[in-house]
Amino acid sequence: MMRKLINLFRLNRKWMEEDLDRELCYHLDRRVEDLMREGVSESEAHRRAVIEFGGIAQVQEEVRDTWLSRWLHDLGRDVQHAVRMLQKSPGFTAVAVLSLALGIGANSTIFSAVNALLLRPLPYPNADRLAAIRNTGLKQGARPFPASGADLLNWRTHNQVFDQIEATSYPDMTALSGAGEPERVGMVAVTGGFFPLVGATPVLGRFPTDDDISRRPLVLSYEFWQRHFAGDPKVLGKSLFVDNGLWTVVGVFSPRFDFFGQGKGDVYRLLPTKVTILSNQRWLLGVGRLRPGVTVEQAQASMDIVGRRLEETSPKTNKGLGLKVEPLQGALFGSLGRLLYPLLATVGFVLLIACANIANLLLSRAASRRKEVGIRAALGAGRFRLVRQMLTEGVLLSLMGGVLGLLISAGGIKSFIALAPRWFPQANAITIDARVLAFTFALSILAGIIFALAPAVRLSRVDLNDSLKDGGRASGKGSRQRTRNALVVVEIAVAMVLLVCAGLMINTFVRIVRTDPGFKAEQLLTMEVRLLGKKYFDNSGYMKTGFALITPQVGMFSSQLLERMKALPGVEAAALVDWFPMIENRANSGAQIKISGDSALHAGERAGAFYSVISSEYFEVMQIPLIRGRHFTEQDQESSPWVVMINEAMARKFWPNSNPIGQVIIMDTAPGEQPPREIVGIVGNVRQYQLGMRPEPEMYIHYTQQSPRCTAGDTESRLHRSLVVRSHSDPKTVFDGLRSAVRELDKDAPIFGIKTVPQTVSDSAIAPRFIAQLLGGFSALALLLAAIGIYGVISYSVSERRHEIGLRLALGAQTGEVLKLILKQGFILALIGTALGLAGALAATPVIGSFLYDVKPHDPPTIMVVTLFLVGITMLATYIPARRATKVDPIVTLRHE
Amino acid sequence: MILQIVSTAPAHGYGIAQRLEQVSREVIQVNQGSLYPALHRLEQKGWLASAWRESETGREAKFYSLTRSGAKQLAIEKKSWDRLTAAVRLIFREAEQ
Repeated sequence: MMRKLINLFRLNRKWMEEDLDRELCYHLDRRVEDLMREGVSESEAHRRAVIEFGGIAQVQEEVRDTWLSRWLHDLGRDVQHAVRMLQKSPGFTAVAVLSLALGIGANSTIFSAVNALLLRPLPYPNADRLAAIRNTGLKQGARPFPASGADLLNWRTHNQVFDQIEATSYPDMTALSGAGEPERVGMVAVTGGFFPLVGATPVLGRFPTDDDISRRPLVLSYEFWQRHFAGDPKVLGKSLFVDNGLWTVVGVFSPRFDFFGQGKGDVYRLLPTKVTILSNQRWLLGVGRLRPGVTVEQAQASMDIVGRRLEETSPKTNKGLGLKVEPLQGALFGSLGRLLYPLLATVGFVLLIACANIANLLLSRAASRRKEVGIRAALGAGRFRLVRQMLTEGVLLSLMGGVLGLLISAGGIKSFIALAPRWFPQANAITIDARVLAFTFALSILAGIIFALAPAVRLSRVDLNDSLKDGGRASGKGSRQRTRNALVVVEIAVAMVLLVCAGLMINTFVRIVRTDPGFKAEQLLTMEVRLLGKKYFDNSGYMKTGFALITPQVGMFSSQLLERMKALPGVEAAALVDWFPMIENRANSGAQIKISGDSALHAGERAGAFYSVISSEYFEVMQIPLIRGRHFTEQDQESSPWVVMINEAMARKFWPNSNPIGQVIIMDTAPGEQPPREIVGIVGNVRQYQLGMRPEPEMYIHYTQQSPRCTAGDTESRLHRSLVVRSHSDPKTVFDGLRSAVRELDKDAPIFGIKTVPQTVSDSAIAPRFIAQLLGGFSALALLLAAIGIYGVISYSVSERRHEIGLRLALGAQTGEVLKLILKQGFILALIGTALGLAGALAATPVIGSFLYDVKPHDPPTIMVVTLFLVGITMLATYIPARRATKVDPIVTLRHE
Repeated sequence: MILQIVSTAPAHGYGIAQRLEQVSREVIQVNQGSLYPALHRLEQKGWLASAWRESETGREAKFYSLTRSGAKQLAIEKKSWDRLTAAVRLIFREAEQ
């Protein structure tokens, strides 16, 4: 459509140019002829003709100037005329502008999120040359995963395509103490070159280089510096205890530096760049700056070779590992496209419905404007000129809608941020910038052209004689009604697609919320504590052995804390667990297991399963049912034979046909120590991470039966404790009691995550709630617009058929029959629309399939309910004008003729 | 002046240029080319209409003709010109006396 229009402009221009050339040629040729007739030689005649004429190019240019001024003049007149027309019908203008504003506002809102995360270049120098380098499997489409320090150092020396390669860890939650109240913080570990690579500038102090590693330097984020130190410049040189070690503050970032966009980068510590035994752990993200002119594809090809060489030289750590080079922005935020692009399509459809509506309104106005157009055509306005007039009106309307839409989207962005899950990155970076403005402007113009073109072309075909005849009863009415019906059918179909998607998402959300978490959340309260310090954690041998030691103090802290918790007034039962299910930033512990007895695993085969570390009261406090066997008891101690409990999912997976109780498994939870554990009990499944995630095989071990050996990856879990109590008392008093119980035992342990469990459970469903809210809101808007659309079409048709209806009534038709007649018209439209929409929905819903839980993309009940609902709404929108039709007074209509 | 020339019969650009030279008896000497921007301007104002037609030599030429609003404009211009010349004449006459 757009291209056609542009071609029309081009064609017009070309035609005018040719015209001018021919005209000037004619003049010169005639002059030459005349001069030759006077006896001048041909060449002389040519020369004189041209001289007399004056500069040809200059003349052409002057003529073109008159065209341009004409064009501007016409535009001005078109706009004036358009403003007059819109002023004449304020009702139409208001409805059109408002529905456009809603449509455009929704689009701008979602686009500004897409823009902030996926389009706007990252705020780093040479952002287009920054790439993420990670490991991946060798299979096509394998997901990338973190790389090891050893690999990164190898890439640095052997690659040919990067100026610089630096490493950063993903943000880890850990504990900080040494100044003020101990706090849980997000920590990132980076190599020294990372700071200049991302062009960061310190507001205080300096950034460390790789050579500073022996001084253990730490850099604070501006926000953390403000929050924890109230912006005190004396923070430089301070020693802080972070993540089990002392670090010295050397600098502070400038505000709003947030590499991962999750608000978790509170402190940055330096990574050692020496190869040690620890360097083989895969936990780092490589960030490289491509050499100028090198594309990501070339870099990938070159790094493939580096990866293959690594496979050969260190098969033990790198066999079967490939390398993946991606643009940094895509690697950090690209996965959000899966959510944002379907949302953008959704709001695009909403706008499309709004456009169809306005096209329909314009078509019905066309009837009253036929005369005006006829007169203008008779006065010599060309068809092109008329179409342009209509388009000007359309674009003017949609620009007004666009301006209002921007205001709406300013509010929309605020609610988007408020509704968004906390993990939604860069939420605060979502703003209306130049790109969003340009998008809105372009979208407004496009929308205006889309909805004005069809009515415009139709109007410009108006037959002069016909329209000028007084009272000219519409001829060609049939075809116009067909266009209007087609538009409404499209509206209903699109609304149907959106409603089905929203229905599926709402269904998903409801099912998630109704999911039994596997324990009784009511009256449960939790609080989290993270132990830190030499008292609990000895990492002196870390560099040599690769593991640290957990001191007996941790176990003592746990049992003493349990005693105090149980003694608190208002506490009915208390327990400890390393990570309470579904808490924010929950880590997990996984173990490779070997099963010695009879099971679904082959002899010697290993399998993975997660495990939790609990006190013996845990299942009772949580009211998790014991399916078989026994609970942990006071007799299960460090010195007694080690035991394990498993969940139903694990029993079903590994012992589908036998009794797991009494079986012995080996869990590699600690390096070098793998004592056999006997399965003593089976408990019910629990949703550990989100309500919407199906239970995995899980194991439970008692906190006393753990090796003191601890790898780096397990540190957080080993030092973290969730306090769980069941209480009917006021949560605040209980929390105060719990806090002082912890403080009596340890003054330096950060206390956080103070929450009631029902709140925790409901928060875990925030993502599906967010999507359901957005899709629900947008499809409600679509439905409203489609209902207005069908209402408009039927009303118009009733007013056009007034004469016919009057005649029918005069001839004795019952009002019921008339009602049926009109309702049937609406029903047919609704039916065709929903049928088309159904086909569209079946094609579209797999796109959101990955967001669904417990609902198939083609869920028949959802589709059925949506169909009935949509048909119901359209019939309601039809009923109002249909009622009006029955009130037609036959006498009045017949006399009117 | 162009309007006046075209008012008698439709004419093409070359014809108008020739007529201009004739009537002004070569008092007004302008580049013939500068006629065309003027023609186009008049056309854009809606005072002239144009069409391709066969000329006296048998070749297609673009003929300009006066539109109704052009005729009106011509009348206005004539009147104002008359008024101006009348005023000038009056001044001269007074000076002679």
